[in-house]
Amino acid sequence: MPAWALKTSASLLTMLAAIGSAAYVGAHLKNATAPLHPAVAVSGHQLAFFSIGGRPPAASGPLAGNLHISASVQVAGPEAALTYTSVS
Amino acid sequence: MPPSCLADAAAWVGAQHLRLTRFDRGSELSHLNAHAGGWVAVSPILEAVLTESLRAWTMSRGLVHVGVLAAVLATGYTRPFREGPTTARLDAPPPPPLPEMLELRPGAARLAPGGGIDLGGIAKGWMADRLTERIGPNSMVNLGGDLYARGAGPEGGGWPIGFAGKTLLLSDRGVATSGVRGRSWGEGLHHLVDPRTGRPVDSDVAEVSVVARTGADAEVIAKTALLLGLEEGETFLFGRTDAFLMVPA
Repeated sequence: MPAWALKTSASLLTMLAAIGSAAYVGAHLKNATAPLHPAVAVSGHQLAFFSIGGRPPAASGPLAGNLHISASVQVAGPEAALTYTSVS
Repeated sequence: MPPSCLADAAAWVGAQHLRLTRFDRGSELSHLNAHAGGWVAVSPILEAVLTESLRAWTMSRGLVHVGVLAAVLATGYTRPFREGPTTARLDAPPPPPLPEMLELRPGAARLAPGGGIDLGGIAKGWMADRLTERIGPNSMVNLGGDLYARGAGPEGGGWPIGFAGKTLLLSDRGVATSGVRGRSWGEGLHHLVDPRTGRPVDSDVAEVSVVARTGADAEVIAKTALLLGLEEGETFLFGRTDAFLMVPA
């Protein structure tokens, strides 16, 4: 086989491989079910807080009374409260 | 929270207040009260709150009773609290059991003749539950101290809620406080009526705060415990709540 034919065949093969690869990648780039697809935050799940009233108690610190908090409830520091329950 | 979402929430609360208040003669509730004795068409919202009222009556063994309007009016609480009370008579008889006073069918309700409904003790917790459904899966709504925390909160560990001088991190839980000190205007005169007597509640408990499955449940459980008193109320609270505080009178 002449040298020019070998060179032409090799070039064509390279070009076909490049075009085929580009076409495959382009077709699969946005496939949500592709393996190793990174986690994406779901839009619309934003934080929201609406309050009317909910004032802090007049006295700071624990209120006098019978207090029971079950083990399933996590307790944080009092300064962290975003809002409060109160009598209405 | 986007301003549009906040505005939508405020508009929804305002609309339900106008629908469910007993102080406005033009409200849907007032229309129902004014037509006691006959069937009245009701909106899906009022129907849902009335259904919730019947559930609350059952859940509280008859102690949370929205049919105490006549007794509430007899205490002098005849107009919005900020306008002050009128003369108390305390002459209203105890109401009949709520299922005998209130009938429901799809799209309609009927009050027994002479019956009247006051949804003040029911609506806020129920509305907090519904409003978080409207706002989103990670939201919290506080309506005058009765609230519902939906989802994991700002940091993922729960919504930080002030409760009995502590901060509880709550997810998918309701919180409510019931007490006689907030709206009182004289010796033994306040807004909480005991349906067993038709008179203002005379309890050895001044205030109960509760964490429960929903805002509506928290409201019903807190009020029930207050009416039951310290000893029986505490027994009632165990097993129905994640946390509670009972403040003696």
